[in-house]
Amino acid sequence: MSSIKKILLSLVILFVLCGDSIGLASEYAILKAPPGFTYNETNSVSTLAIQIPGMQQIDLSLPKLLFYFFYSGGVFNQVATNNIDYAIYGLPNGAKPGSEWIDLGNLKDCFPYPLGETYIRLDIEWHKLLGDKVYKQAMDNLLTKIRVKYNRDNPKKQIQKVALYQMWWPRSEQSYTALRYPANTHWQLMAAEGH
Amino acid sequence: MNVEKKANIFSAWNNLWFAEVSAYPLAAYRILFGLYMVAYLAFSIPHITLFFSNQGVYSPFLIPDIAPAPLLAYILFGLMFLAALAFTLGYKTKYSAPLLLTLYFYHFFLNIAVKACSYDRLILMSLILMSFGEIDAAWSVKSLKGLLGRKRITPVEEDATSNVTVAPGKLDDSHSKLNLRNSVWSSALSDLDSRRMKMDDKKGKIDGSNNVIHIASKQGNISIGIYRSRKRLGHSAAAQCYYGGGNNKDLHTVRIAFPTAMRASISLGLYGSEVEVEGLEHNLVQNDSGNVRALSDAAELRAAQARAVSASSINEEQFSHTRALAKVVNAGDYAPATRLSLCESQDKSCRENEIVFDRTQPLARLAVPMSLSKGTDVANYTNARVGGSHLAGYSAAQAAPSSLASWSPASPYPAAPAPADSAQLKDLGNRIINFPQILPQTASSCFANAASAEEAPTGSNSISNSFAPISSYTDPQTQSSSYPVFFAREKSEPYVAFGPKVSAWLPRLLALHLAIFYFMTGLFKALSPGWHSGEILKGVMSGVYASDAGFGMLGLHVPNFVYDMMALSVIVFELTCPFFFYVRKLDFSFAIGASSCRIKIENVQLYFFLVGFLFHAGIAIVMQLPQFMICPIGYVLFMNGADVRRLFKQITLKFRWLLLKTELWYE
Repeated sequence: MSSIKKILLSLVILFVLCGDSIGLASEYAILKAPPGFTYNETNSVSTLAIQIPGMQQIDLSLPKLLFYFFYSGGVFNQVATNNIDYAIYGLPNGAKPGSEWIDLGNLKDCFPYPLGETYIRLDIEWHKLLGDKVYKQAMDNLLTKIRVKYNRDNPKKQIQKVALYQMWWPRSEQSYTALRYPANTHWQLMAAEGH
Repeated sequence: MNVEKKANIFSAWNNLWFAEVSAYPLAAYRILFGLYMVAYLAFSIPHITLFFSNQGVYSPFLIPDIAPAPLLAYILFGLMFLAALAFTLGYKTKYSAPLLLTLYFYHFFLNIAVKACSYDRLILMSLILMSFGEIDAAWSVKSLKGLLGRKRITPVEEDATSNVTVAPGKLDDSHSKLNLRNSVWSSALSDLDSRRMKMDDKKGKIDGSNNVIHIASKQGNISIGIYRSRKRLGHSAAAQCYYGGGNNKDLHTVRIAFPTAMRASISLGLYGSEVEVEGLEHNLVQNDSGNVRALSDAAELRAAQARAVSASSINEEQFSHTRALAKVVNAGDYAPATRLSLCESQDKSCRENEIVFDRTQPLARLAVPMSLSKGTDVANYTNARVGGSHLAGYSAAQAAPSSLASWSPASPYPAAPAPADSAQLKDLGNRIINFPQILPQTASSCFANAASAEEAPTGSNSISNSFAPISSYTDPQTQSSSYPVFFAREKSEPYVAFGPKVSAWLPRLLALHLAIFYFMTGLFKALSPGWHSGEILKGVMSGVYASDAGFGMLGLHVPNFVYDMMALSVIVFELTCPFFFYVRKLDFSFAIGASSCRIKIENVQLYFFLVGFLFHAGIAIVMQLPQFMICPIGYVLFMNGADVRRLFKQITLKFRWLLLKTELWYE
């Protein structure tokens, strides 16, 4: 192997190891475990600050997206108290103001995944990292695509707007929907076109 | 820092990342990762329009909303799928890996990144790194071409022999002429006192046509042990086993079975008879004068084959299929093979070919050398068997003394060293010649020994010599014999030295990245209060990722402390596995008062692999997240080449019926 190739590959190796190391060390800071580790992030940069007594503070920075690429963190680290589901509602074409929105019932048509994957897809976590504006834009685009698809699939029942709702109800160990009944189920508007 | 320290650091860095290591772990990872990708992508095939076209519902990330029309989306996805298949097969990975990476990047940012899941990041990282590395050095289309002789990967190492040791039965000068046809050897073997010849690797490989030692004797019986140490295995492994002959006039049947998938070169030396069944590449025949030569052309091959067929009941078409060649030479007083049959079908009940000798004459000695020709997966060798009904006719008086076991040990890796000095050689030779009849079990163990010689011992980075001596029979008329050369593995040579090699950076970096990934998730759990009780697991089993299996487990109403222990186990596993994945054997001792305690655990990493696999299988079943199986796939990267290769062999043995199809494909 040539020396130049070795140098280039060494840079790749260092890049991966540094990313992993910062991701690993950041866990201490994020979970506020030991003193001396501080994690800060701005809209674009993640910084791990390490303060060792008697030494100057060391700042390790990575672009925010790159940091999250390396940062595995933990999953399912909180006990969920509720179970959730989603519903897509649409406002029919020509509906007058104040008209009732209808349940399109096409969640699975648009998101043919297990509910867990649907959940993370609608959570669009990485878009959130880029700020509220990007997040809102992404949700709007998603709703537009849902509307266009629905109108294409249902040419005789055209809709003009789409809204995405999240429902939740108390978790049960009996079954996922054991405690899902109207009095227990709460609704929240996640996003709506023109909202 | 002085110059010397800097140099040491650079040297250590160089050795750590750019040393040559076995290519098998990386090859196994490539295959498993490729299969994972194929399966992963296959789930999206019914939804390509929805996921990746401008008529779908997708969430692009960091890229403009540029999804194409459905037809183009299908084409792009199909191209990615084909690239994944090519990647798996190791077909032109120089192009298929970057192509797969590029297309996966495109689809990732179009509608996969929105998930922000760690398994997708592991996929991306693996793809990125593998696009830089040599991932097709083993178990790939490229290496297969090498096996078939079209393009050699490691030509110098391919058949290099490091040592040839000859242990003659008698050390006097009254007999003896050894003629090694290979020019690399012959000069060193001018007389029998040359017992150990160091081979010069740079002189070139030893080809099959010359790999024969010709022995002429002025006396009646000579016995000789010939040992060959090879640098690398895989092409012409051979074993020689001998049956003692008796005076039993009953029908003698010797049955030799070998898998159909094995391209075997089998030489059966009968007393006064010689039958050779040759393989694909080693088209050797022995003519009446005892000389060995290569078949010159296909016509001669067919002619010899036809003669063989006439001497047996073999199905010619199938015989041709395995490219075997049977030739009867120097029939003499004794009947040659009377039946040579190959599997008539490829069903599971017919896994092996058989060569059956029905003899009405006493069997003085039967030499049963077997050698695998090029392109043969030596794993099949472990199934080679020798046995026969005549064996039952042996009496106790004809059995060899128990001391025979010292040179034909039952253990695959005998403690008995290679004969290194004249005393040992003499002793060995005398013992050989003093035992004209060798136990059938000896033959079996010889085969087992030979098969095991292909294997690397568990828990060791080096292997001992594994020798199986050749005991000659001597034709009373011509006083000459010919032998294919047996091999043995060189002592203390690390197994990883065998086979194709790659630079260490890629497998080590991938493994390290996976280890850190595990540690990171384990650390997070350890620091998160939510994971300090089993409630988290109950929540997961009944939450948004829950499956029916999860609720089924909850329905068992097991005590809470079980969930507490499970949560703790997950944390302990994820925090410790990054270290124990690297540990093959634990062996340490400590003092307890006046006494000491020693703890020795073999295959430590395998236990952790098993736990990890079960852990991720549990996630797949209970949480409907099979995607995390990307993690166990990476376990092979922590294994050494020998273990991976042996594992591969064991798997292929389990699926020999699949190999039959592969055999056709080879053709």
